[in-house]
Amino acid sequence: MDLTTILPHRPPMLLVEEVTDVVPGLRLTGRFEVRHNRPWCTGGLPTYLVLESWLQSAAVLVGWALPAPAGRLTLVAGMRDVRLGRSAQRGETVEHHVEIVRSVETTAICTGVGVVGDEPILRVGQVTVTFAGGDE
Amino acid sequence: MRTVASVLRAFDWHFTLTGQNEAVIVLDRALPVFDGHFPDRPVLPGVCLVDLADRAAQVLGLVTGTPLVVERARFTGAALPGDRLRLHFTRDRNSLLVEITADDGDRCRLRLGYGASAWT
Repeated sequence: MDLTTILPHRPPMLLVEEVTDVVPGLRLTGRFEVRHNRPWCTGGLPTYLVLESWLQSAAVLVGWALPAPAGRLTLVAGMRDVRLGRSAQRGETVEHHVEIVRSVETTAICTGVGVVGDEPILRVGQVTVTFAGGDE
Repeated sequence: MRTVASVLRAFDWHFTLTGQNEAVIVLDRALPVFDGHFPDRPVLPGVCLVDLADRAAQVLGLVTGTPLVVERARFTGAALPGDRLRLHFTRDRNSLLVEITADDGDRCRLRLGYGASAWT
């Protein structure tokens, strides 16, 4: 699956590389490996970019079943209770687990965690992700 | 053409301190983040607003260490290349309330939670 058919993000801000599991409309697991030669990753991936990576996984889930008009953007309208654990170190792979709590049309409230192995490094209470604009 | 090496490290924000609880930053149009977020319609990611708010709070000497929790974030307007952002901070117990506004309106409101030892 080419995630750029869903996400408007491009390098150096494309921070999810693979989807390993998805149930459209319900849940998704995405991955990002922190390689030393990747943008932003020289000193490890900072906590707020671990969150960005998780948010991109959430956007993939929300956008999975939507049509993909040119020029469409993903936006985060709000967040609540996002617990920033630690940065991801070089060589680590972060696995993002995302669930949709509620959705209406192109907007969804999502929750989940980011883990390295069995260790949670990010806990997301809820975020509101929406797709907007485009040549619909 | 921007090289990968130029974006290997995370952001280095440059603030002007305008008060005990205020800082200003102008979003450089050449920030590499705008290359990929998004190529045709550049917008600063919300997580970058969280990061620059935390960094400004540290430069102002309001806190040490990074926030443990984004208790609440509400993004009301897109932060665009060239925006002059004003950050205003208010402490509420162990939380920092941050209002980020540009010359033409609000951009976001944040409530960041820090550990008890983070306060200076």
